[in-house]
Amino acid sequence: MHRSDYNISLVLIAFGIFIFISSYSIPVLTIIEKTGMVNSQFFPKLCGIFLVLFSIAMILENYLLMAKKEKKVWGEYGERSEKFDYIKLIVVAALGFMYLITYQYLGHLISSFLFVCLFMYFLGIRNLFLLIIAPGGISFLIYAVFRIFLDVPLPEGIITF
Amino acid sequence: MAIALGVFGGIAIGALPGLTATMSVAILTPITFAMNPMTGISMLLGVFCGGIYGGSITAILIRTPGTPAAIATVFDGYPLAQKGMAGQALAMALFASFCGGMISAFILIFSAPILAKIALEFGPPEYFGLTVFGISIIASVSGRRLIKGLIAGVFGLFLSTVGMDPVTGVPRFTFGATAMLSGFSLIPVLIGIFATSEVFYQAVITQHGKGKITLKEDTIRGIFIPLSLIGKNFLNIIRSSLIGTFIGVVPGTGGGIAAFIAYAEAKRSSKYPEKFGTGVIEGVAAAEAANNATTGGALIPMLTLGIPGDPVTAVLIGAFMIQGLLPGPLLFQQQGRIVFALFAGLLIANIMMLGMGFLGLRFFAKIIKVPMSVLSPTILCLCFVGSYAVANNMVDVAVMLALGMVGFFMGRHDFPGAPIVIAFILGPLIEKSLRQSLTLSQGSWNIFVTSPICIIFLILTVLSVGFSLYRSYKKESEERSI
Repeated sequence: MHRSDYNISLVLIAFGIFIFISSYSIPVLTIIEKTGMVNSQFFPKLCGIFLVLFSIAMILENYLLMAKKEKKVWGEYGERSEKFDYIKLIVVAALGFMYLITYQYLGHLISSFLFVCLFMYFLGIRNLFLLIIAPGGISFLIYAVFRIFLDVPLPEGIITF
Repeated sequence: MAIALGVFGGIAIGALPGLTATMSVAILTPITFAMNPMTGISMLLGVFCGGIYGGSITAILIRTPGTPAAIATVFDGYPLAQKGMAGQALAMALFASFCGGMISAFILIFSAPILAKIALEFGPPEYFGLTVFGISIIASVSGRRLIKGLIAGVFGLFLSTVGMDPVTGVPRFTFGATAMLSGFSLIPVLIGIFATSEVFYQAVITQHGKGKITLKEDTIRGIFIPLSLIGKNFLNIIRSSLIGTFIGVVPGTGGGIAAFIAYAEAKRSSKYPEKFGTGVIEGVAAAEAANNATTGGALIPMLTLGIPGDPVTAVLIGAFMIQGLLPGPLLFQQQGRIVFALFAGLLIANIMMLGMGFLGLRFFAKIIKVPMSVLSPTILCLCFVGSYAVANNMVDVAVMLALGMVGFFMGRHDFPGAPIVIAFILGPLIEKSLRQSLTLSQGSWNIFVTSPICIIFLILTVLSVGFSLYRSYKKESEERSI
């Protein structure tokens, strides 16, 4: 069995148990809910139970496949099991987090410009002209479409018009 | 001219992630204030049709459904684009949308009052049956990854329970945070699961310093679809259009549900169901025909009963009333002239959508030629803005980002993302209809077997799940014997 699938199953079983136990803290308004079992706790409990059951089924399915010495069937995501650099993932996540933190305070124009510039640099663009023009253009174009043309509010931040 | 403007505006806004067809109608309604009623109403219908179709463009090209109705289009549309067949996928989406819209328009014209009466028969037990049938497609879209698909579906169901209980209003899994009372919004969830996760994947797997394009070919092969392909998909499009029209008639459903069901039916009827999800044009045709067919269907209860068929028609009712159209039982008698103009407007809007769509196809398809090192940051920027635009709330953006990470890891471990969104959309409807039904029946489960419509849907559910499992088992047995 793939070790990752086994680990995921264990995590999901733990998560399912957490959901099931947490469901008991959801208030039940018995004045309205005269139906007994099916109340505000019902669906969350159901989710917890099914998560545990399906995770156990996943473990069993993998052991059965191993017993039959069958290759695991991959779907269209199969090729995504190739190894990747965790550092890259951390950098991308950090960039996204930085964008999230600065979006409201610096505003759309500045934070988007910084984000796109840094992301493009990370993805391999080294042309200084492109690193300035493209992020500026993209940031302003999105601003123009959403804020000016469609009148959808975007955070102004430190730049106000 | 007004219809053309409406269709163009609808396509452009519908294509933008975070801006739904509902928003496109709401944003462009003020433009119609200065117009006479027939012109204004026709323009809004153009926005409606264009908005539903527009979502398919970004769904196919960058795996970001512009509208919830285009979620099912992603399943095969994006893989087709990855195979270098973005042009054909876009063309089929356009043609299927046109057919779906026209078929539902004709059904609206000739049978509106009859279908409206059937829609009135839908109460909580019938909705329960319909939504259970809808959620059964999780089994279909999961394919051979059934258990992982079911796990993803349960996760989506759990996400839908966060926030206020739909029946009693008690908080669930909010952990005391006021911002979580309204639960997770649909747009950040679907942007996160589909688009953000894909951007993470492209960025992390991309070779450093080269900005590798992961498409097999970076040239667009074919824009116009051959007649033989249309012929092969003829029955598929008709069936999906009928499904979409019927689903659209039922209030509170919408293009997303119709597209899921039509997609699942197309897969079940196909000779090669295992290829669905890997890039088959039938999947795109089914999803798009169904979601645009809801335009005519949703107008049926709206015009005949004054009840909106989906969120877009809920906005349209207000816009129509501003133009002097009073939807309801007396509409056909008192304002027949405007109603017939509306019918004509709907037909012309679909024809305009076809024309404009074909003119714009080559331009749309060229987006895929942009290097991923420029496209990925742009898409993520759009994801941020789209998620923020929903409610001007940074919590939505944080949810989008978090689910993007979740979606990335799920994809790496072969968990399909579609069941999450399907369960997220249908979960609240199932729960609400179940609990309302049991409240009506004082806790008796017999209410579900005494409703003929509910029984029909439950039987269809059992048959469809059983048939999918049987087919899957048969296929595996054949492969083992080879």
